[in-house]
Amino acid sequence: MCRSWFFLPLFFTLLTTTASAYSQDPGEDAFHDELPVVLTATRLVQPQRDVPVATTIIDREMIAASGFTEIVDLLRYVPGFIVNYDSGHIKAASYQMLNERYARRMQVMIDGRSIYSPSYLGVPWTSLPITIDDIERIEVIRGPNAASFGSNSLLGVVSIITRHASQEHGVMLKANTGGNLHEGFARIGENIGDMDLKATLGYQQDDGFEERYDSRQTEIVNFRADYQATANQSITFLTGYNNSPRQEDNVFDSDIPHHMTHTTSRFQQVIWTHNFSTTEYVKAQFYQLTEDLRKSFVHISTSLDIDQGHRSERSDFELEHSLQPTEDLQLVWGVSQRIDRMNSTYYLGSNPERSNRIKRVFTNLAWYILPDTIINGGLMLEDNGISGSELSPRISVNHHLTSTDTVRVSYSKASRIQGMLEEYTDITFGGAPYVIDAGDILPETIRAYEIGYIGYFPQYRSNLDLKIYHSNIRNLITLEPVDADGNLPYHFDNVDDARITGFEMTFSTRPIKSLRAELSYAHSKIRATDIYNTTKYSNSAPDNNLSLLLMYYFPQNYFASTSVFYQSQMKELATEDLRNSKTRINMKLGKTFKGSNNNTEVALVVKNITNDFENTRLENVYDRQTYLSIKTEFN
Amino acid sequence: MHQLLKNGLFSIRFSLSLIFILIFSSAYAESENRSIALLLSKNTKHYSQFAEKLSQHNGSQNNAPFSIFYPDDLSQSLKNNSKYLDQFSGLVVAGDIAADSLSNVSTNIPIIFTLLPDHRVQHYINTNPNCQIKGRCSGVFLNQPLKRLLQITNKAFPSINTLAIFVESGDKKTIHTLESLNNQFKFNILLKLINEGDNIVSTTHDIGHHADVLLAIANKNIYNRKTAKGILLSAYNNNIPIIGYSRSFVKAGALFSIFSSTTQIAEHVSDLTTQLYKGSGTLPAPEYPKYFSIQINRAVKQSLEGKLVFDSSITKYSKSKRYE
Repeated sequence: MCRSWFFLPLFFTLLTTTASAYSQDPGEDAFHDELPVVLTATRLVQPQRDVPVATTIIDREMIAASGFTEIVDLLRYVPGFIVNYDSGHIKAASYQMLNERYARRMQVMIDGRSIYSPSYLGVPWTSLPITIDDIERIEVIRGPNAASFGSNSLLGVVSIITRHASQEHGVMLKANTGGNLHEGFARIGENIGDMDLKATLGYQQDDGFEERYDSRQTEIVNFRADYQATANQSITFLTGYNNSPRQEDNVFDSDIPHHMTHTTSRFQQVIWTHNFSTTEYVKAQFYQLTEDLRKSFVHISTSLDIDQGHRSERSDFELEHSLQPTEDLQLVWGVSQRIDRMNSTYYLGSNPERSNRIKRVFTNLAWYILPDTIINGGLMLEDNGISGSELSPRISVNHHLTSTDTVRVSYSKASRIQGMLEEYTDITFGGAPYVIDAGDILPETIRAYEIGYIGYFPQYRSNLDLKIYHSNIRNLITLEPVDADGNLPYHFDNVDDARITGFEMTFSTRPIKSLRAELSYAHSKIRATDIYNTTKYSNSAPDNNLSLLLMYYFPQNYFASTSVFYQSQMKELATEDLRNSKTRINMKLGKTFKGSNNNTEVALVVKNITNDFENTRLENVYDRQTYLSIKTEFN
Repeated sequence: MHQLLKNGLFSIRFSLSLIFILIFSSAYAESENRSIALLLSKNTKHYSQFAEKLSQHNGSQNNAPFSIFYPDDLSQSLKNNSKYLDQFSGLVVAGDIAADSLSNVSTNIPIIFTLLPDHRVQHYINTNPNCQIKGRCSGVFLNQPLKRLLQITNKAFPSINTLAIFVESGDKKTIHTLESLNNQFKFNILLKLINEGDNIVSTTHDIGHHADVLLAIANKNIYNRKTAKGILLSAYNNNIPIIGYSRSFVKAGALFSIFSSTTQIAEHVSDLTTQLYKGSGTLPAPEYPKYFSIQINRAVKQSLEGKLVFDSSITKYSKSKRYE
């Protein structure tokens, strides 16, 4: 299948040759041994009540209880998030607004590497070289945060953190089968001295929607090594590969026949961390990712051979220093340089190779100015080859009214630098211009204002997070006809502005250890200029969005969970038709069998249990789906 | 005549007084010259620090010298003189290697074992032939008494329901003690028995559904460089804070640790050696350290805010001789 499979025999060998460290009669050494510094500022989550912007954490327990097999679906639990399937393998998620097949205004990272694709202008959710079981938690910043994460963090940031290799020793085998889904995963992990290693293999077969030509097979391989050089110094190496042949149709253009596409993505990443103390560290990371798409077909009416294949690459180096110069001040600063490259004869025309170099300097501070008041400030200066220099500031004040109640007021400004596809696009069809580079596009900008309340009710083991916000977005980049009559060619241009006002709420409770509930609700109203169409942005999000996840652990290791999602009406992506409100209920029931050195989990998952879910796209008929999941782990 | 008699009596009284002073001072001088021997396992940071602190405390309290040896030095000295140790008024034995080196040595002086956990001290006292006489041997343990750990945990987490503790399945004494203490606190103790070959990281993950806090009891088979990372990460990701047993553990990511530093152990040992200098040949039964510290990891504490009620004022229960 791919070269990375060679890791498998190596790991089985390591597994069988490493000896147990178990010895008799431990004595004084246990007290004197230097342990590696593990929970440093890089790993710790800042408490909700101290963070500058509203944040939602999707933890491993929620991921397991969800029954979802697609990573993007987990974002349904985040208030204000819209998740859309344009086809069985084109998926998008965005915050506050989603008006196209791809979500261009979200920053998404895995272990600190940005996977926002410069050519795709979105996130290739089905080409990720990780599996859902690799994830430790997902931190979602609901609001712009370019001051910390750079441009493209316009509406929000999704940060996926995968599991450390030391957490996954042993062997895991998992299979999900039922309905249109068949997938299998294997993971093996081991410790050798100061090194923890793990490798994951995965295969997915998804038949897509019933009435679409959109099935896919996906092969995933990833590997991680965590080396603890000294108690204070660690090096992490990660690499991964995703190979996915897919069927593709086009529901809008009957001249495009059913055809096959083939995506391949891979990455390598090295992270070096030196912890001077629990509050000071230096971290350097370098990563490279590449994505290839092979896609060609014969246009039916013109018999033209169309090759829409493209290749994109990203190389990124970042250095970060976090310190606590005084008792009341925490400071992070850093520099980075990124080079994005794109190659496509179809999209970039006569100049098919383009690149963009981005240099960054950033700093973020948390200043405990009073015992109960924190000022969070952030600033990022970016210099890029497309739009020049951009400055993204952010400031917030969090005040603890009591030990359990906090209010937050924040302001931030962020930009989204136009992607290479938007800036340099040059598509001809049959010798005639189809999409042209009109030049002089400005970055999209947002100014966001937020007032939040975070309450913690220890007697009920509950948390409440409320947020009222107003965002003002300027220069939204849209693909529009060059002339007012709607004739060809098209071009990307700053056409619309939008103002979004809304309210969000999350309520988490765990009254007893065996019961947990996560409720989220969002209400928003978009007022957009919609110059070429009255509903393009205004209806690009539902007015009301709700999710509920209930988890219960019964005696004898039985467990059950239920997810409920409600979304009021919003426009269909890529058209202007309004789709009805929809409710979706999923359920998972299972039992864990515990052996002396193994655990086996058997679960039944029913998705869309009421069978009345209407997808965002009319053709995407989504029936009730049932699948069986078996997962076994042994030492 | 009367004057002569008076002068004669004065001379006799003066002479008797002089003799008494001479006898007394020579006895005192003999006692002062008998120093205490300190047998260290290795010449490493912990032992050197212990020796230094012990010397300091003894210097200030007893103005008494200390003679420091390592097992090889002692063995050489014993080759030359099998009664070599008897010239000292007592012997402090620090660490396993030092204690092991004494197993075939015969001496009549009192012995204090230290820098060892309770079960190791008991083992040496039970097996060393020199300790068969009651009061001849004592010790200051390196670990904390379980009751103290549970009391501090109770104060730190007033609202938790379940406290998880990992114990080796063969450690019957700890299991029995914890079972007997289970009803004395507001929380229930969830004992997870660890067998050889168990995946401790996976066990840590499993307790997430049942326990609120994990109390780590020092055991190198459970907590070591190899497992600490996975345990800390799994516990943290399940919002389960860990209470550690060493300074290193709290630095690694435990919410707080309860431990006795080598300085604090030295303070306690010096209380016992003072008794030896005062001429008491009988030592008390081995003891848990009187002096201990509670150290909090501020970053972890901050990160867990809003997830669990934690009373960080527990540091006031730290006990050190310096503050007495």
